[in-house]
Amino acid sequence: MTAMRALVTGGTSGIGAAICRRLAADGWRVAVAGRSQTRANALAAEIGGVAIVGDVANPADDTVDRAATALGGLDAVLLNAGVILDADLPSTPDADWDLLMDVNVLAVHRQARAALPHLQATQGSILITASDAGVWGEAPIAAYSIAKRMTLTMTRCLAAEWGPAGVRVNAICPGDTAPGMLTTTAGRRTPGATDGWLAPPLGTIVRGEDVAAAAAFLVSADASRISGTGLLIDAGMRSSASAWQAQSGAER
Amino acid sequence: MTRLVIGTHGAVAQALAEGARFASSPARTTVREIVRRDRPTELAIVALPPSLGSLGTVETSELERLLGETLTTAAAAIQTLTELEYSTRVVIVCPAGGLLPDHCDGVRSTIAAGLVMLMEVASTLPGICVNALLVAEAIPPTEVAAVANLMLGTNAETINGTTIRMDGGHDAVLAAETRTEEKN
Repeated sequence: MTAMRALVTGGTSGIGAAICRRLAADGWRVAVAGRSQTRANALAAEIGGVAIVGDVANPADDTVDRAATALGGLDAVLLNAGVILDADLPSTPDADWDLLMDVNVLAVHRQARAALPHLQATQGSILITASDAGVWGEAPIAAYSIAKRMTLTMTRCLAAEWGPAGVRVNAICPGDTAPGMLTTTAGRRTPGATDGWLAPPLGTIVRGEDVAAAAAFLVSADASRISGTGLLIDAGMRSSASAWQAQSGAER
Repeated sequence: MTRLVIGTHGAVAQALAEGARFASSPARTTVREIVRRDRPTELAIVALPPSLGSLGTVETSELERLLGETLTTAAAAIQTLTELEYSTRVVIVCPAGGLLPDHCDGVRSTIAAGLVMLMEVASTLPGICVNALLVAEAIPPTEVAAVANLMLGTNAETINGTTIRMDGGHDAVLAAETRTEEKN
């Protein structure tokens, strides 16, 4: 049986790396894409995949086409690359606003369009990493919330537009995840630490593997009738306005 | 009361800008200068550009251009309002696709979704009441302006962070349009 082939952007760390490992464990051939050649090479070697080095914020980036060439086609494209800024709206510098829009919105649009012909050929799917902050906004990460709401709308629009071509488009909406971008945001807290995070109703912080499991499902044949959805993986945090109090207000 | 209207030119903007200053899709630096100079107590952000069609067919550069002319400008205007030491009311007028996406109008739906979230996060800021008015194409501009005026004119600070959808019930349920046709 021929292995399915996937590209994961932002695949060298955090949630992206967890997705790469999960897909490889499920038998996929994976193109690990990211800006760091060292990290991409290391993970690709670990999982038997291929490394693609590129920056999705660059309008001339051809990560999708290079991955398709390296793998001989694509059955899934997981647009996971993203950036976050720890700032409310008044504190958001113009340059950071532009970067968030470039990477989290415009690059997703550009790469989704680049992926379409490859996925139409295989009747494959796109999976966009959105965020729970796009479902229900968070003022302390204002620009990020705005960008992720836009990617959710993009997901739904593209699902309707490309469904007739046999291409599914879905999104995952992770909550606070470790390891994830929140554990590496500069200046936020001790890198890697989750102390101070609010515990969700289920009591434990979402892990990268949890998000990867949802991603693996949505690009699998088991999800062949699912398109245009945004799946929350947040341990219940967006289930109620006071969900963060469900664990007696305790912090983890 | 000092009203400032920024955004896309058109009948809605004209109706809202009667007797007030209107700046047509100003650049980010320009809108900051205008807000600091005019010190508005009411800000209407009109983001009703012509449709660019579906997302899959438009170049990313076009999405980028529209984002810059609408969402980025709106965000800069609201950022600047937070520098003022008095309360301001803001209304954002944008396409109905910001709540219920329309893939045939996917570009504007995506931008409008961003504007709705901008409204939501901005509504948490002290001194600013911001709401959104989402309008369908067929709604007469004078009706849109009338509701926008209501949203700007109320003194109720509890009306903050909310949306009103003006579509005549068109998108209230799936295929509501069909039911209307049957009834007629």
